[in-house]
Amino acid sequence: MLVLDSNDREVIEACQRGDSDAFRVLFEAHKDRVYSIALRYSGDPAAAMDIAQESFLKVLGAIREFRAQAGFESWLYRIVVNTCLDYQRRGRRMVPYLGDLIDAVTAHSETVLHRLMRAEVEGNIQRIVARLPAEQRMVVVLRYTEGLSYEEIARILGCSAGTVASRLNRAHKILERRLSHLRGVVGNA
Amino acid sequence: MHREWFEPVLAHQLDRVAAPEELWERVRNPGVRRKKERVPMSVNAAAMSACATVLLLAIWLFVGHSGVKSGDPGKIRAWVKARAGIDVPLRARPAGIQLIGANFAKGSVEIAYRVGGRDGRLQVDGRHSARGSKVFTWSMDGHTYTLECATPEDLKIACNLCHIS
Repeated sequence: MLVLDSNDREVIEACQRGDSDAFRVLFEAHKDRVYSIALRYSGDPAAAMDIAQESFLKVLGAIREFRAQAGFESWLYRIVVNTCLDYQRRGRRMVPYLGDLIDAVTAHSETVLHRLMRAEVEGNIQRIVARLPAEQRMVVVLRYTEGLSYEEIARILGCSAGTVASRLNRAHKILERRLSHLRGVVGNA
Repeated sequence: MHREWFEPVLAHQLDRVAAPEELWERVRNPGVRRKKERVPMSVNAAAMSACATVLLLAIWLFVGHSGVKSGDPGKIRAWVKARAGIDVPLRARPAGIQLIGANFAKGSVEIAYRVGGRDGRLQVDGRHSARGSKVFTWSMDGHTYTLECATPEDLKIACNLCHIS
């Protein structure tokens, strides 16, 4: 649920007063979420770092304008989503990453095969997701990376739950077709 | 819809990951951007070499491998001579032959024509022999014919070996 607990509220109020330690606490609480959305959307760790950095700078710059009743996480999600979309619009690099494959190759010999297989599967899925149209891709990321409900996604994206369902359905059809070759492989990877 | 097999896969593969430690440093010091990944010189050289190869291939395809479409023997003759340095003595009005055009690739000239509605082609290879004279080679009935001449003009005379001048 996208609710603000009492601890978050205190931290946010401290951030609004300019408390840098409080901002560090806020950052630590949400950094994985922000980075993961950026990474799953962009498919590129370097792009994800840019997006995550920019998102937190926007949070820092706009935190005074945040109103608690709006729901901090929804507000944060909107910032990340818009930063992802802006980043792509600016034509920055968004490519599926090979980092895991490289890591796997250079990994300890005992786990090379296992890591290669896992990296290959993950790379495949990341590549396929990265090729989805932007709107569908974002819905997929919010659904599967964040586990959000249709209503929560709709609130973040500013559309109806029906639109979310429709985008997800279209994405599912594409993904099912493109992932079919991985069927039977993923269980072992 | 039957998709129960891939939804857990997506949820697993697209799961959250830990943000790199350096992210805080980048947020704390916004001036710090990721270092530009320096491409090794060898990679640059390989990339330039690949580009050059593609460029040469394009030139070969679009220039070296170009051709002319014409039914005019004079035009084809001039084109072949200009492109290959070979003067093919095409007759002004070859009886029963409709010229189509000519191609030049890898030092070989190919003149396309039709006889009675059937496609035909005359191939001429022109290259300098080791002795510096002109060498002309063509194939007919599965045989390769080669004429070695001092100049392209001598071909006219050499043709008298087989043809009425």
